Amino acid sequence: MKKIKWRKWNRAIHRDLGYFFFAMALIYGLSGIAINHLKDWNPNYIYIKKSIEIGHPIDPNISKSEVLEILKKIDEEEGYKDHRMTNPETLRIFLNGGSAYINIETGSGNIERVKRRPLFHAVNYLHYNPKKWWVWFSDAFAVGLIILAVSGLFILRGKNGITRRGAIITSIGILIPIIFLLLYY
Amino acid sequence: MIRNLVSLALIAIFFASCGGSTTKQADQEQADEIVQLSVDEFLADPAEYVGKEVTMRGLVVHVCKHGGKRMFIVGENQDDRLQIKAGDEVAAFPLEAEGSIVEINGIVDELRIDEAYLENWENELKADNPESEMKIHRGEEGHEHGEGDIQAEWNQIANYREQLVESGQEHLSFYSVICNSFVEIQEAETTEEIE
Repeated sequence: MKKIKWRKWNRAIHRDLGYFFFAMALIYGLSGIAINHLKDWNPNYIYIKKSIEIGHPIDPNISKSEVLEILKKIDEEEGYKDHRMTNPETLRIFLNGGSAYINIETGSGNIERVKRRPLFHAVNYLHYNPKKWWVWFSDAFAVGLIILAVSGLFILRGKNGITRRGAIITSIGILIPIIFLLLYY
Repeated sequence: MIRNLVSLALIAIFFASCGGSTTKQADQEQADEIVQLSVDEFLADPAEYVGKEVTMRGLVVHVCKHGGKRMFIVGENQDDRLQIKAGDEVAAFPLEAEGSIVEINGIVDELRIDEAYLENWENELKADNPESEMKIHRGEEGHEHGEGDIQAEWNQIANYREQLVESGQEHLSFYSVICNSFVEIQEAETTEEIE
């Protein structure tokens, strides 16, 4: 009976899964780093702030036409969406892609523009599982990662294989989460 | 060559086995009558609609900046806001939706805050659990600046405990809509005067 060359099969599966999931590994790697640091930055949007000065106080019951007059002064009348008082001192004007916040007593304020952060907005969108079929595909990726991890252990033989160098490095990689669990779990 | 083809075939089988089941049953379960109403009608008696599928239009006044998993809409009465949470079919609400009229469809959800909930919340704070989901999001302007402010959460707990006692009820209820879909209708057609 012919002996099954399992190492060759292992290499082939590892190689092709690696090729196939290359993009997914980058998507989840990048978005993983981005989402890990939500407290430090907003990975989805870039904020651009600009100070504005109307030069006079504003009536809290300001009408749309008066708001448009204000926006005309600061070259923003095209972007008007709506306006409202967000608190007794602040008028918020919703604009396309941002908002203007104006202190109605002083007439000073700022425009905050938001812009999607290139690449990160897209990969984070995918990370948040936008549709059910994407959930299936990302589940498939997760199973693929498990297969890649296990098959990767048996790619090499000899001094760099799983019985020698590989054993030491794999053990360190296993120990780190175990130590963390022992300390904090 | 054969090994390569078989390897690719295995990957294909692997995918076929992962994506099998359909969602028809879940869709059918949600196919009850959809209630169409305004935000103000809903907020007048939200308990009436718990568990029901609703469709309503409102002005987006806030989208949570971290992740966009929540947004808040208002109706004619701009002081009363309704929380909309992203459901399974919605990855995130775009920040650009602020100031736009949207039509949302989703299932009404009720969050009940009782003494047990507040005690669990306190325990999560004491344990410094960063994954804690106990905090109540109300979407106030600029609330993201206070993210991670533990003292603010302790104050929130004390405040809810006080409200609970004052209400004489066993729990406080907070209503939201778990959004299945939403569409931006148009730029808000104004409101000549702010109410």
